[in-house]
Amino acid sequence: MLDVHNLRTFYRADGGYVKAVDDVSFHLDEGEALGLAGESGCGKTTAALSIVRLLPSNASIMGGEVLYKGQDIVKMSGRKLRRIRWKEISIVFQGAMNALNPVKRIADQIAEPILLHEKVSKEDAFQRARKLVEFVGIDKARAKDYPHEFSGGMRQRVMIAMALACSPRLVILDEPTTALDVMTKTQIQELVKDLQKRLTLSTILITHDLSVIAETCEKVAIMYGGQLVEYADVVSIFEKPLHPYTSGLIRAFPNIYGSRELPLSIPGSPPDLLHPPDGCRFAPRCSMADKECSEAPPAKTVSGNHYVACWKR
Amino acid sequence: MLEAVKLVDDVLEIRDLRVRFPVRTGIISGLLRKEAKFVHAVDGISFDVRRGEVFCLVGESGCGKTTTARCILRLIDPTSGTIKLIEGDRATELSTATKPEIKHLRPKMQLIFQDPYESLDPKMHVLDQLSEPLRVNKIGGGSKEKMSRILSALSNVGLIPPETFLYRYPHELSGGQRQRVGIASSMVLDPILLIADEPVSMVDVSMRSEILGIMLDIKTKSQAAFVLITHDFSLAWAVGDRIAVMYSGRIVEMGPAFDVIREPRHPYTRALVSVVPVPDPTLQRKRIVLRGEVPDPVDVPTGCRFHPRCPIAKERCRTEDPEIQNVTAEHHVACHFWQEAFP
Repeated sequence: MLDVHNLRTFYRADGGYVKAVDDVSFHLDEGEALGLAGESGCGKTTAALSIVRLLPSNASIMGGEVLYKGQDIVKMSGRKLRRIRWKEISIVFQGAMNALNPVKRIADQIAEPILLHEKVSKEDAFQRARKLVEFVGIDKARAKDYPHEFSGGMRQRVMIAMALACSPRLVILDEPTTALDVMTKTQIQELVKDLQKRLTLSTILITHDLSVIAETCEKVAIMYGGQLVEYADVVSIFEKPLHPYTSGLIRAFPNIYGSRELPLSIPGSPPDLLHPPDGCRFAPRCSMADKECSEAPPAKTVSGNHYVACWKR
Repeated sequence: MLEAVKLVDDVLEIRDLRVRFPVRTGIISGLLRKEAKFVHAVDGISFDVRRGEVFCLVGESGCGKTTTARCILRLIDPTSGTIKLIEGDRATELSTATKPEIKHLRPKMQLIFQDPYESLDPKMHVLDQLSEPLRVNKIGGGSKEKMSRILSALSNVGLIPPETFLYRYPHELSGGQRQRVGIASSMVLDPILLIADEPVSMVDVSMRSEILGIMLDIKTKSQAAFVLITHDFSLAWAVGDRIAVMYSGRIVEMGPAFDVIREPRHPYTRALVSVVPVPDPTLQRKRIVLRGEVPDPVDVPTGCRFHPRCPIAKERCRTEDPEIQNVTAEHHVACHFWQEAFP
């Protein structure tokens, strides 16, 4: 359904380009839930924004292709792209629940994309908005309320309803639960899982929290320093992580069903993407690194569908 | 009942602490003499914090955990109740202490901030940052002694060699290093009590345990007590000695971290623990997803405050506020039916 090949998205900056996404490839099947994980600044959000070409003005896609149902989004005309956004691929932006218009009723805000993207009457759009409100678990009587009358969790539900307004096939969720409380987080996760099943949606979940991915996704792509370091199904990643960064990241999360000890950290800090190190970008922080790692690691596919970029595997 | 387990090495003793804020109303309702409303942020909590322990206050936003912390530091005044800070054989009542007394005690109690990007002054290098608390509190004597305090605080938080960090500005430090400088600036004063409000929530995952490790290290070396405020049970699991779970301004369960997480007795704790994200996709467990949200602190439910969301609530819970009961001498729970439901 979605095929990303050798995607490169750079930001212009003083003294060169910030290589936020540098040669990233992955694919997503119909109805699949993909988790895109990594630390802040690893390029996961940029990669996702590149899929719908919603990049800030100082960023541009320098190479690669994003094939959605066979069509390359990178080369698409603006007009054609507008037919794909929201109707085929929609996105719930990070922190967007705080960006709802405070002076508009939520049903009106949900109806807005419907009116923009489809030829329907105002009345029909509003009807659909009300149904969507109910669909994401909010009492439809509250469709006429204003954003300030909703809690954070409810506002996030509104954002999800808005993303679903034009029945897309793929929804990208950027840190959808990050600022929410544990219980509200779980409620939103359950909602997303439920919607996935009911609508056979494909989703890309962007998060720094691997344990959320463990609970909600089928495939995982781990990014480090603008590159994809590992990609596999969720069970293989957690049971047999192949990249030293992935295993480090997993070990960094405390597990309340495991032993009571301090999780391990990964020493050092992520690379400067303006001048990334030659060779493997993780090498300066890697305990297994040696001479070999000063060259870019080969992309290997191990046991079926498990991809890893590391010299030591 | 809580008195029974009191130990001599308490650093902090809180009894029946209450904090309420008046709700601001408009002119009209003032003229109509409508009943004044209050936000009951903290409503009658008691606990002790012991030397050399990490005491965790865990709960969702709005449960009163941050208000409790700010009350301990007297950044806000409690409505009623007592807060005792104990140093050796001297106990000071913080809730009624005067401003000069508080000023004198402040160096003993320090706060570790959540956001390492906003808590450091961008125009101050590390040396200035760490000298300021010493200067303000007139601690540390001569400049030589001050410098040695600063250097040892820096090396205690893992900024080694400390000399190389003295003249660096915040923008020259990584997020993890900034958080360390933040901790060091609390540590130069040799506090006996440190309050850490979500100390790692803004730090990248790969660096979190480093920061936590520093806290544990300080705890062991200096025997200072930590109050760790977090919404994250897995953090409390990794570093906490004891946990108090708060809900709507009350402590609903308190005990050793292991017992509270592995054998929770309050239905709220059980639900929270059951949804803690775990980095293991093969784990089979029953998630208890509570419906609804934390109650409005202005208009709290009658009886047990958790009853509208509680899976085991009965008629009695609607009317009668549960007393704190002992599960063991160290493990307490405020629920009418814990024995029936989770023996």
